[in-house]
Amino acid sequence: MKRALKLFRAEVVRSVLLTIRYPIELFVGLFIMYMLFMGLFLGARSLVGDTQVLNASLDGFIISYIMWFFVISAIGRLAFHIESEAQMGVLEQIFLTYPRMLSLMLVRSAVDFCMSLLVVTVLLFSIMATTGKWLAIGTGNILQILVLLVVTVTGIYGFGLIFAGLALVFKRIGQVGSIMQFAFFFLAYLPVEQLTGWLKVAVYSLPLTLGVSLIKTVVVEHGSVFSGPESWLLLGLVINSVAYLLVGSVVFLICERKSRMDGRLGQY
Amino acid sequence: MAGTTNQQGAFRLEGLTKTFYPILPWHRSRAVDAVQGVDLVVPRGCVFSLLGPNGAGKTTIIKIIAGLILPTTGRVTFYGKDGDKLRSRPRLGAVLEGSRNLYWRLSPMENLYYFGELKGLSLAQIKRESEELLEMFDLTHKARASTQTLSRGMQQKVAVAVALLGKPDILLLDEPTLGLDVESSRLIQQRLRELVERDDRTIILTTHQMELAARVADRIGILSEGKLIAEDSLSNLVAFFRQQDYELELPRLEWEQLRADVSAFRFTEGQSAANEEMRVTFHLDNREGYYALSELLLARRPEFTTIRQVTPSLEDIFLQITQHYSDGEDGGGA
Repeated sequence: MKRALKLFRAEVVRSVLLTIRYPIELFVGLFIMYMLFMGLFLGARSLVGDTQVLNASLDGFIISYIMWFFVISAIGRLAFHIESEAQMGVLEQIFLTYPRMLSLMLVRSAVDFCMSLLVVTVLLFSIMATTGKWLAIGTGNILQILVLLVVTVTGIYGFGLIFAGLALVFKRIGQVGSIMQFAFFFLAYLPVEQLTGWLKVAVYSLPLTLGVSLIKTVVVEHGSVFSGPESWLLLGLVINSVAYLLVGSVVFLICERKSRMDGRLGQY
Repeated sequence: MAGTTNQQGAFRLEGLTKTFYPILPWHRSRAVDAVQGVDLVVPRGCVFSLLGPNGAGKTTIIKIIAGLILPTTGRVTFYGKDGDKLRSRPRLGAVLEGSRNLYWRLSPMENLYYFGELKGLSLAQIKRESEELLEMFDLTHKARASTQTLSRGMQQKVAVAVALLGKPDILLLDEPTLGLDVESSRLIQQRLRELVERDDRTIILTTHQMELAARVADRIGILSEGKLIAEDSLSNLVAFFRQQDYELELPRLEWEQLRADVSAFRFTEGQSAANEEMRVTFHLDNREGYYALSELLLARRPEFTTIRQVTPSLEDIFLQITQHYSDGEDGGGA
């Protein structure tokens, strides 16, 4: 545990230093995400026409967008770190210094989540201030939201580990990651509640969808996931996320071994 | 000469082979045998230099020792313990890609901090060792500058400092002084010798720079096409080859008359400082070769200026061994 905390501290310091040394990258990224949301929002308003109808679904619209931001971070950044570090030549040095690479990736995921949470907070407030739609987040539901967020994001980072592992073997997988991000954009906005039967189960078994649905239940419908029938869905979300984390970890370990077998850790 | 020593090894390579297969299964015929049956024991507290032409397998062996590449067959043991098990691995430091082993956006101090944390050192230890290492490599004044703004030599010194952090038992250096100016190269060489002599560290060094290996290495291994074809101390290698190389200086005309008669011997020709003189070095395989050459020279009685036994440089030894080996592989004799 002490070692994990040391790793966490090292990764926080590294991330913060790299971010503050080139803050323009952070601000441009944030600005693009904000403008993309505004483009979607204004586009939707011109299509729907009826402002009341749009306002009624705007909470869900914002939640889906914010959760998609975490997907971009998990899938894009974990694999991007590997790609860029292999390109720099520092990946081998990291592996040599700390050979338990999966542990390092899990710690990096945690740090990345914390950093993303800060960025998301700024993004969320900017969006809410611009649209005038303030999400019902308060002391009554903040714990539920945080639990749902952490559990959902765990599954997403588990899925991200698959891409990180593939990046170890194939290096240039950025394009695939971009396509996956768009697939998740579709999943984030999928009206899962309207689906029925096996299709609903199948969609819920994907990462992100069930988590987004439950967060909407808490924030939009003011429901609870700690009691009643929704608590079973929370259990399902936990199982879903743990499963993705396990699968992601196993795929990462297999890819790491394959990369070492082929001598590809330092190749780009 | 190839073989093992009886000394307690810092690490041992046993029957090491490595074949790289292309990632696509239908390209398996393009597999490359990078390392072929290497057995080696490297004693504790010495600088061991691996020499070899490009593609000989030096970097692959270093990376297998570092655990970055898994061998196809064979194994690595450190102080008698299996190198596959992370718990039994000693502290390793490495400079594999030179300055590319660093975060260029971070400063030398920040790089040292990050890798120190990864190594599990305490903050106080990181601070103390970082300051010592930066001072050792004359980098104190650049401690907080962005690494990408440093000169190549400084970046290389930072990479070596990162590798030395945490006082590793075994240091793996792949071309550590490549592209460095003389002063920086000398400084690194001096520090490496100090580490071995004062702190009993073991250093594995790959290089194309023969003078570097000759200056710092205690033992030399020569690789060719993935095989370890020679391994001994530098003094033994020099003694062995000194017995076999004889240099003859004689007028050009004399040499032209003698040349056909000595064609059975292996020799290299060169001009001496005085342009009219030829300098011919005979590479004799054994004592019998020496006697045969002596008899021939006595019979022909050429007017030679000097004849002397040559003390070969490491470069001469390297070229002779690799040439001899590749001639043998090609089916020729030498």
